[in-house]
Amino acid sequence: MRRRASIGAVALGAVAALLALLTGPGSGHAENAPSKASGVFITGVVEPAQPQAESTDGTRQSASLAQLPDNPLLDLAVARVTVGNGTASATLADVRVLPGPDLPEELEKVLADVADGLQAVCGQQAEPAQEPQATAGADQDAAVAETAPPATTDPQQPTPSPEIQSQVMPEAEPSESAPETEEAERSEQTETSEDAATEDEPELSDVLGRQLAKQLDAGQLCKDLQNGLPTPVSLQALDVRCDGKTLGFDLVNLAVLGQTIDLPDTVEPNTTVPLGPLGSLTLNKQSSKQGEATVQGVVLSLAEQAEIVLASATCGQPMQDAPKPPVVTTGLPVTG
Amino acid sequence: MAGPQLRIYQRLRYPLRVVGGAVLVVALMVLVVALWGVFGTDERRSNRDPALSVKPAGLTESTTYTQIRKAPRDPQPHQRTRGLVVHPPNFTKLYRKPGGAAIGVIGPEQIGPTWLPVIDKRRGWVRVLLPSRPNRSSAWMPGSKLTWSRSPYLISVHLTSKRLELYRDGDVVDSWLIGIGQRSTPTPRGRTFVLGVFTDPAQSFSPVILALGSHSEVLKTFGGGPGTVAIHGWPTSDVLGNASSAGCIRVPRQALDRLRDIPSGTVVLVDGQ
Repeated sequence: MRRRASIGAVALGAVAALLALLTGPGSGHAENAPSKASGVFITGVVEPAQPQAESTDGTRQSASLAQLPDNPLLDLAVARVTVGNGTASATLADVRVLPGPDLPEELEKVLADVADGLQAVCGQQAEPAQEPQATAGADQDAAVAETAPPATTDPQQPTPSPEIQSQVMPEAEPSESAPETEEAERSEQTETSEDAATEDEPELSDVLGRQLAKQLDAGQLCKDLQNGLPTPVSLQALDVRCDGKTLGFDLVNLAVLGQTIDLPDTVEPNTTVPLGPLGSLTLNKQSSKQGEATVQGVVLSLAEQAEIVLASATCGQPMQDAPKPPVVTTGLPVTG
Repeated sequence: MAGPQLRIYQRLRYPLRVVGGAVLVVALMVLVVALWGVFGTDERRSNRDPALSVKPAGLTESTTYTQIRKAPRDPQPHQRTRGLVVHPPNFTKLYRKPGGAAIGVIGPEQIGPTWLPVIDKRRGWVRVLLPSRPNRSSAWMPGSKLTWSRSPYLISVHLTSKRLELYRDGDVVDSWLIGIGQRSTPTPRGRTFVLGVFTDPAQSFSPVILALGSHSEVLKTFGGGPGTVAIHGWPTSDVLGNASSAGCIRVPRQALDRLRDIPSGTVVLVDGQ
């Protein structure tokens, strides 16, 4: 038994050593996948991303800016990115999407449609018989007035990217009003799905989609609307980071149409926030491929017209320290 | 009754012993091969590709024994680097500028594996310091042919205060009083690097010696060697704080024990402070 054990130990040692041979001594490696960070990327508008930093050799790099180049889609106060040896981070502050004029024509039309739709909803609410908040709920369907025109734009339910296991923000209350009558058939015919108008009068969910409508205070929205369409999307602070082992995400005060969206304390990776006709938000979007992992703070798909990526951090594998030198025996007279 | 049983046992026992011995021999052979792979040098590993392991003809190999006159000088000889170091797994050509003419070649091993500090990068090329004469020699190498790593350390030598400071990740982690070259054979200033660590029975003044990439500016040869400057110990402590060497940097034993583990390729900055 003892002999068997010793032979087994030798064989085990040999296998371990063979594995060591195959994996090599770890004395450094080829140039690593770089670590990268960027502040803002907008398809066709702010491209390449700004600011951005990249480290291919493990050295620390950083960049920042206080103002984006002139563009009709985005404004911010601070953007700072830092990369290092297998680490990356990006921080943005006071970001406002769609702050000003000179928007692309398609986006302008979407916004105009949203504004018109909201005006119609708010016009209904202004009548004394109406509830102050027409936000949605199946119990309010019957209270909608009869004369207002239907929403001009069919709400577009965002479809999670197929390669991402998405989390969708839960609704404030479960959907329990799936109509099984003629209304349902009409809804299918008009391809408005669950957000379909069930009456002739518009309500907030007809304009913004049911999921977004349930997040908003219609009364406040109507009040804000008197000063024009509120900023469609804004956030107070956004921070993403990675270190080769973990991906981090922090978001403060995400607001849609001027109203803060309730988010859980921990936002799960790839959480989507439907924005109705405005598009959709993906929060804490995470992905990985060989040797690197990426976290993007907010990815805004804007009415299928543009994609805005806010705060992105990509971490490659950290570069290893050079090995301790072997002590060689040789004859090299030095200058004592 | 016990006789046949014993014979059967003996008949079985012999093959078992043979098989067991054979297994042991095979296991030991695998172990030897594996250990060779672990402790074998990078140069041996590079020899798997014979076409790349042969030094190109007509080009001088950069070593502490050679001189490459056409090598461009270090443009910032007092500047710290970012700690990036590279190792040529095979003989690799040295260039005067990216994409320019080859001025020499460097091998994967001289005093241990060759590691060179990177002092500049440009579109896939790296500029490294060389171990050959003259001092402050540099050259460009294609980065794709190299193994990359980093040294978190920096060695800073101050000739006036006669102190050596060891930095790690930008912070001083140790500092020692040292001995330096005397006025007639000064320790050369500028940016150089740890070329390798060795022991030499013929130089018993120090258990180990850290050869640097620099050479004495006044001694073309010394003791039969090429005038290589080094960091090493000394049998007595009276040399510390004095300028009495032929150019080398003498350090206390405690410093030597620490510095011998610093990766090859680590930058050494010698200044007049």
